[in-house]
Amino acid sequence: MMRMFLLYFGLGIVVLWWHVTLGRAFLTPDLRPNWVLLYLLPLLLHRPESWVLFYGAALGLALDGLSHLHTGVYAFSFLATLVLARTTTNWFYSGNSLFLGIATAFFSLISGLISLLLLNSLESELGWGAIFWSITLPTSVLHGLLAPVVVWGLARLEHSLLEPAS
Amino acid sequence: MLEFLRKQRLSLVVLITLLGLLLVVFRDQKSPKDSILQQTVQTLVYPAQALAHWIVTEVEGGIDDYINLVDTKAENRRLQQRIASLQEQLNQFREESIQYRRLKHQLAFAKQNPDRKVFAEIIGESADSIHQTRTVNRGQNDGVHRNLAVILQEGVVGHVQAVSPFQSVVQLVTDRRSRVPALIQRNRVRGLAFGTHYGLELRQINRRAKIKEGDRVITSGLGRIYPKGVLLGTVVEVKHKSYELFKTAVLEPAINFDQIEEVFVIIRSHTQPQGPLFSDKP
Repeated sequence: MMRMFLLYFGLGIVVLWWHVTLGRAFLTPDLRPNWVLLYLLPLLLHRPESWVLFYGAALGLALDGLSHLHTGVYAFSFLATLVLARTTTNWFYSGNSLFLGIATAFFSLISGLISLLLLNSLESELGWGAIFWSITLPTSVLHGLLAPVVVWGLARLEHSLLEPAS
Repeated sequence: MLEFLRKQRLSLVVLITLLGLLLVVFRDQKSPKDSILQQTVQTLVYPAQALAHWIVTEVEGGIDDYINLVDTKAENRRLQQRIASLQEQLNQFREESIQYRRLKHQLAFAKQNPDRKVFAEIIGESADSIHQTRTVNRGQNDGVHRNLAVILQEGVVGHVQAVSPFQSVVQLVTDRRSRVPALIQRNRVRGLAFGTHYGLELRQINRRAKIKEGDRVITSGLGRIYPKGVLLGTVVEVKHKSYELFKTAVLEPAINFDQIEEVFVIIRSHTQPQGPLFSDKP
């Protein structure tokens, strides 16, 4: 249990660090993955446990502190999306890569929509519609494509760090 | 009742957390101060960000050195080493020379203006794709506070959006939230420079105003954030339809935001920490 806590605590910090530093160098500004969301959604689908919800909210709060002026936007959208994902994926999620990709893309879209709607109510003339089509949608598709790789990486990490050596 | 609460414990905690977060979001909107959370996170991340900045600089330097050395592979070993050494020295001198010229211009500019300036290095970018911000390595400890103008000799960069002890977040003028009161330098026609994420647009220009491509647009000094007369950009296109009340001019920003490495934060002697530039409140 302690090892799992340390693993995910460390991974959370690494993902945040990656997101605000070297991860910014990937692709164009409009098609940059939100590395934190790309980590959280596959993690929840891989481990649909309740602690992931609050872990996601905590990472969202940290991301809020690093991005814009409105504390709580990412935290709210991550938590709401993860709750929705945890509740609904039980109905249709079958655990293969295709479903993982589709579910990640879909819930990324939902998360983006929640963030944009919140930001739109806080920032006049944000033009959230244009941002949704030009940034959120392509980024969500990218998240869907990368999700199987994330889950594969998480499974490998858990296998090598959490399971006792035989 | 207790049994119900026990069964729905997780749902209740999630619901309360969501409501709490919504409260935080909208409380923040009502009192736009630097939140403790934001300051704490930025302070915690500062060493990592500074480290990443250093790593990127070193890796870029290493790659440059490697590229410069590729052409000398055909030479014999002794000459190769000699050339590599000279090349490295040359690169170093060239880099120092470029840096010297850049800093010399900026320092001359700093002397021209009586306001106190804090020289800051850019160490990070916005963590999301929606906003256009840069993180600089100067914060409260250096006298920086919110709503201070950030400029370069070439023109306006933006203003300080959030501050923590060691670093600050600068909102660029191209950010969608940015509004800068501006003037066309040639004929003093007023407008409002809006950030469009990809550039700048001067809007709300009198429909009868004569504007042409190449006109320089400067800050008007209204709004009490930016000093008057700093270049925002030049007009590259004028848009106006016969039924529209105002003209709009598309601007080429004075600054290439992808290439800036250092900025000046202007600490005006009479400037106090202020609220947002525009407010709905009377």
